[in-house]
Amino acid sequence: MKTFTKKEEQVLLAIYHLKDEAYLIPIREMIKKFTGKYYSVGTIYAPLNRLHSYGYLKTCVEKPDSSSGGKPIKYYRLTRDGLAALKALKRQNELMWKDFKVPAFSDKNSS
Amino acid sequence: MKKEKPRIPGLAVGFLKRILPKEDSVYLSQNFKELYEYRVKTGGRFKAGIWIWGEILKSLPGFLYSALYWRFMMFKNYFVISIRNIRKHTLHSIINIAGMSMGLFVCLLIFLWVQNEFGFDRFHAKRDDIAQVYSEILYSNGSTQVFMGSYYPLAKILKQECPEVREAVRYETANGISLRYKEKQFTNDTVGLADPAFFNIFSFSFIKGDPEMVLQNNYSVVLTEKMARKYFGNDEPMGKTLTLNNTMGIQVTGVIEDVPSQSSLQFDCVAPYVLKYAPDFKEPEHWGGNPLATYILLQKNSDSSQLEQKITSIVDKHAQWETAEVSFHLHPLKKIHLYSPQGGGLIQSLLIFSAIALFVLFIAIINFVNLSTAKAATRAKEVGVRKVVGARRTELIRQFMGESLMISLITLIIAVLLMAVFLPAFNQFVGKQFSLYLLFKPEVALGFLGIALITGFLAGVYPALYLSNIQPRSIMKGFAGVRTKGSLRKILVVAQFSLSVIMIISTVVVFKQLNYMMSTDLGFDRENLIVLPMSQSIQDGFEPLRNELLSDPQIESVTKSLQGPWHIGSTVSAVDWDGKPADETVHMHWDYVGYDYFSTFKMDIIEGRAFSREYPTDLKEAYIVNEEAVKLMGMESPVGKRLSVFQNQGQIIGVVRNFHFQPLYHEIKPFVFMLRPDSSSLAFIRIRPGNISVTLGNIRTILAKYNPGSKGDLLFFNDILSRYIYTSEEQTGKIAGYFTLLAVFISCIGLFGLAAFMAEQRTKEIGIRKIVGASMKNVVFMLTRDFTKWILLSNIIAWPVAYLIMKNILEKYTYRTHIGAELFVLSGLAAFVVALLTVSFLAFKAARANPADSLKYE
Repeated sequence: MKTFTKKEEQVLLAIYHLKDEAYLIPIREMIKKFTGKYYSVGTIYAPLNRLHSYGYLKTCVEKPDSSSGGKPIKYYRLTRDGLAALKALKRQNELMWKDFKVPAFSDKNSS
Repeated sequence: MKKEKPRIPGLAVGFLKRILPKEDSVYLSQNFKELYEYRVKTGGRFKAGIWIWGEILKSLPGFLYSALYWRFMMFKNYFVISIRNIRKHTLHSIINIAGMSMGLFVCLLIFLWVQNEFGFDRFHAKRDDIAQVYSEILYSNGSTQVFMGSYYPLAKILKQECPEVREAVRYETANGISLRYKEKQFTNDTVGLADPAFFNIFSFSFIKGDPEMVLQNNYSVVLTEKMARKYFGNDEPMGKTLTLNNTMGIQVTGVIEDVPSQSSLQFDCVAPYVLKYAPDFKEPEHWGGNPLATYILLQKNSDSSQLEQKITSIVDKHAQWETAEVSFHLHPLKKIHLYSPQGGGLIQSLLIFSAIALFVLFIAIINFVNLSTAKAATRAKEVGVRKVVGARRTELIRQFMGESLMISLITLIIAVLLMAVFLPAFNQFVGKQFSLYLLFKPEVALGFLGIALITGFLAGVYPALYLSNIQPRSIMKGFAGVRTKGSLRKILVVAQFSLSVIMIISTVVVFKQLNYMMSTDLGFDRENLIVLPMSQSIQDGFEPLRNELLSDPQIESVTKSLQGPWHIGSTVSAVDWDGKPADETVHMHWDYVGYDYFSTFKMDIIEGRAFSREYPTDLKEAYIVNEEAVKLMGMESPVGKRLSVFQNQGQIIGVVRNFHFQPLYHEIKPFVFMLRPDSSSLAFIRIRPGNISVTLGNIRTILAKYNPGSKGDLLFFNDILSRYIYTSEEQTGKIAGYFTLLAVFISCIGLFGLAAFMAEQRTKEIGIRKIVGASMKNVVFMLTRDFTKWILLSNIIAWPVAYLIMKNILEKYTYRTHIGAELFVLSGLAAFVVALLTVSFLAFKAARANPADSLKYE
């Protein structure tokens, strides 16, 4: 499995949560929900593009309707590989965070 | 009022379209629009406008990254595919790479040379305002002659009377002058003589001394670093005194860096011009033709044609020309090295060689184009698949262009390696010291890269357009559509061979002319004749030296003269004889010679006698003229007639058969000899054939006695002709010869590749033909027929062009070799035979193949 950057991880998870509604703007909103920060369009587009080239995402273009102002929208979905990668990522993260507790220490002792 | 739908500002839309990755730009701009509309609703139009620009700026790195990312992925793929193709089609690749490397190699060599020659005299800070003044003399018979040499008073008068002239200096170089410091004495330094303002005009970098002051003292000298080290070692040279010709001392007042090799003024030291007239410093004031050059520094932006007229009229006032009209012209420093005012000059050689180099490269490029398009079938499937999965034509073009650029970079590396091997030989041809270190100079490195890339572009552009145009549909039908008639290919092969034949013919013409000039009868015997430039010490001890030389039985005779009969340009118009028309100005070439001149040169005295020691009057009042001069003077029996030359009365004592005293460009003109053994600068030694190296050794030992410090530079007369007079012919012949061989070779390997491809394509056809009864002869004939036609056609095209070029080459020679039709036929035949051999080798191979093998895969 490829290792993911933080942004790639966030984008993958956002798409996972958004299910059928994942295109660039909701993804951006979703990441804002995770991190409290808006990423610029380009900042999200780059990892999206890259993940697509790895084969973790597939795209489908929706017919234009009135809500999008008469223009097509490109939706992203996870592929089977993408889901597997997320699963592996989760396991990895759990391993890394296993038994994590904020140790009770005071600043005075540590020095 | 109805509320309008908010829209993204137009400028932002345009900008977005430009930067967004192409495949997603519609969707992305849609996204931007949505965000913008939302912003407009919440924060108003103005805020949204600012926001959208901020957002675009912040997005730039991401977009850029994505674009490069895909480029890189595709590039990796293209790269892998190209390498695979190069390795898969070995013959094709070897031919392409070998041909292009050679073509590029030739071009790079010539580029190196051209850029070196164009870099001459660039180091002078005031280079744009420096010019040499030269004169053009219009004779009464309408002919003109250009003299680069100028007149003693010219510089002074220009400086005084011409406000446009900021500085003017006289300059000339002297050789064979002996200089001594303590026991170190040398005679091989080139001494420049120049007026004090010399270093104000020319920017030679000073290490020691003040450029304004160094030549102010009449007995001063400025040395180059090299010369200072030669005489003074590591001692301080400033203020030391050198002894000149054992008579006077000159003081070192400055040291400059060595003269750059790219300088048209070359010297080892510079002394004041007036030193020539030491010790009384009486400078000549007359307006006779002189061996010096006059350089001037102009005011900025002065109009040179106006100034030329002004100089002409100023000089006219002072000189009062009697016989001819003299006009003055300026030759800018920038042009001095490359152009000669008489027309021609080095630039001509450069142009010829550049053209030849480009021809060779062009032939190599044709190979690339031909083989790439011929082999299109092998790439057709790839193109089809790429197109089906969505490659656009521009992407395919980019891919194939990239491939040819890659090959051109590979060939660049090979070409540079070839240069590393052949540079010393090339240096010898052009008389330069190029080294591969030049590659570190940015202009050279960029030039090389540029030439390689342009080559790659030219070679790749047609194949790229051709290959990218293949329709997937036709490939699915089984290549039927890919086969073309290949008419362009035929045209290109014909062009290639026409060029080769033209080059062969032109080279042979140059060689034949050179051979003619080196072997034709000049009117004297030029074999076994040694020329020795005399230094002052040899001149002083000439008589004992001569006697000692003559004691060697291998030495036939010794003589001397002022000028060498390879190029005597000086003329005298002060000639008079009984019956000369009063209004006519005539010119005779002349020379001062010593005793035994005519017997040493083996010139024929057809009437009268040669100069002789038995007639003391010969020294003052005897003239020997050539047949042309007799014709000019219209004398029946010239011997004994009165003749005055340089206002010196005398009589003609002999007539010499016409001989060539100038290169064969010029016709033989009237000539007069005077006996002045004391005014000579060259000695001539006639040796007997056989054991030449021993004789030369003896001469050197004898010379060393009379001329300590000199290396004894002995030159054969023929060496002088080939080294100094017919240099450009020698150079052109040799370089053009090698380049022509390369061109023919490259054309032939191209033809070989093409023939191999065609034979391969027709394997099955040949198999079937053989089965139904074709003999080997039939098959070979069938395969070579097309090529034969092409080569014959190229000959027919090449001949008229070569004829014109030949006429052009030979035009400047008054005496030229005979070129008949047989040269054309033979050159054409040579190209034809070589090409036929190349093709028939493959044809035989194909014809010998067992049809069972070629047909069993059906």
